[in-house]
Amino acid sequence: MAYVVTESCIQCRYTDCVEVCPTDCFREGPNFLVIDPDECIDCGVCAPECPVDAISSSEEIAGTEQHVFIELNASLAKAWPTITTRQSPLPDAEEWKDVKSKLTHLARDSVAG
Amino acid sequence: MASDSLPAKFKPYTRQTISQAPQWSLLPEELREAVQVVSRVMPFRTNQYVMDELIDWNNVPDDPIYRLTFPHQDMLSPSDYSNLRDLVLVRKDEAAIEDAVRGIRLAMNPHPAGQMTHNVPFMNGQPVSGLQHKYKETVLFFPSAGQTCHAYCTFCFRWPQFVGMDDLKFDARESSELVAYLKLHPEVTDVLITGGDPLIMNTRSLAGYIEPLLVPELAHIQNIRIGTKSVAYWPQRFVTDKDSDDLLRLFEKVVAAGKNLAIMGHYNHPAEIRTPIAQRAVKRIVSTGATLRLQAPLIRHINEDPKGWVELWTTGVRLGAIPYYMFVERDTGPSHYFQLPLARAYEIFQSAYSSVSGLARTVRGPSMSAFPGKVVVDGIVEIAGEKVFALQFLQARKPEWVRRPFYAKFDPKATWLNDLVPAFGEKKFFFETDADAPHKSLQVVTRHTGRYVPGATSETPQPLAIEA
Repeated sequence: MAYVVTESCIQCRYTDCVEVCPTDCFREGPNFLVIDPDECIDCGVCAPECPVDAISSSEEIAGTEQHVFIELNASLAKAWPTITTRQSPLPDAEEWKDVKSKLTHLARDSVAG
Repeated sequence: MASDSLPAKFKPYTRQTISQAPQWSLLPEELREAVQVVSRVMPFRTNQYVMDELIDWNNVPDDPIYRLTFPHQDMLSPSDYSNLRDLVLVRKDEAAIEDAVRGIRLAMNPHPAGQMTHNVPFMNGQPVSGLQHKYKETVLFFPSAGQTCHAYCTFCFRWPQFVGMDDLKFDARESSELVAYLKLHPEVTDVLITGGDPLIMNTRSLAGYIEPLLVPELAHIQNIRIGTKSVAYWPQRFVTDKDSDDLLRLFEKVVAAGKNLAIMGHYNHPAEIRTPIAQRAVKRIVSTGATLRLQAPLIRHINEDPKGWVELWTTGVRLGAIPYYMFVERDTGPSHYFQLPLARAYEIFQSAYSSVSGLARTVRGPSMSAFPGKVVVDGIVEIAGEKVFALQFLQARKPEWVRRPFYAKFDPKATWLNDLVPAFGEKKFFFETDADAPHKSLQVVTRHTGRYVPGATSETPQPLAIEA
């Protein structure tokens, strides 16, 4: 079924999640992370790590407004590189963490190697 | 149903996705219903390899590997099942379901044998999360990323690790506290990495937990054990996974560092070791210099036939593995469904043991991992006109109890240590205190020494009440 990174991550990108993943399924973008649904083994260990509760199981968000992230995680995962080590959150994470409706700010380019 | 090629990439089936499996349509409605209902309470997970290679779909539900991995209606009491079935299939009330499920789970003796009350070690006055330290020599470590498996066994005694109840979950994010604790405890010789299944992790993640144990300051750690059922449920882990070769190199690295690496391989039934890939996995593990030890519980409906154990141990030994334990199924979860009387467990063990090579008789059993320690049923004998169980501790919270024989009145219905009463008119077993009960008041030395040690310096210990 796979877990999915949703809106709260945008512009915050804390990356607390990446180190607990047993199958290295996180992919990084400029201001967002995604989970590769082909690699995710549904262990659920990442979800409680996120300080802004951005990670949900796809079952939880199906039929909600966050469901668009199911498809977004799948498609962006194909283009983005793997991240396995925690990094600093983005500089303005604190300001952005409670902002809703951030989807328009999502940067989709691949992170420069 | 043989497939031409094995599944190459691990992907679990859960309650939400099992209907996508090709074999799902082979199941009658009442069995599918049982899976949907019971999996709300007990963890459910399987994978395509288990379904393709280990289950005989002509023989479902009696096929042992089906029973091993697919929940059955009788795992819940009739009233619990019918109530939950109504909530899940008819009323579909998620809040009420959650309530009912929590109630059923709490009544199932989660984390038995004092794990949460007596096995949690302390360091600087604080409990160390993700560790257990019951026996002097051995520390258990539960890495967070390893708290899931390639498939879940229906009888699993660690079921609370997988049901999303955080207050019942043992896990540690990383190994720094483990390393600090081990440095403070030179009496520890063995670390068991367990879960869940640590080999669910890729090699990079696993190495992150293992490599810190290879430092010179931890030279007193002689043996690193990894508890796993990947050998049975996903042998591809050691053979065809992208990082299988890296995994084997990691095993070699541990061995080269001068430690014994023991893969504690959990096989419940010979079907799990019959497939060519499972046998290749054994050979590849053993070729790294690691040892592979076989252990499993005796489970009604699954492996009651002594001939199955004979095949398992004999095949294992031929491939280079070492039979280690036959356990008695613990008194937790749906144990009423899986339990066998101790007398029957002894018969099965004796029958299997007497049919194998001496090289397979390294196995000990049938052994109960009970609150005071690992109690084995050595025999059923008549002494001075009284029929008794002959018992002893293979391992114990107090080292001086180990290998000390004791005797209980024979009871054909007893299934666990706490069903037994002392033989020969004794009032209590030698390891029991006067205040013996499920909730004991005992002298607690834990917070100062780190590990719980039952106080026995006086006949009547000063009770320091602990909430057990």
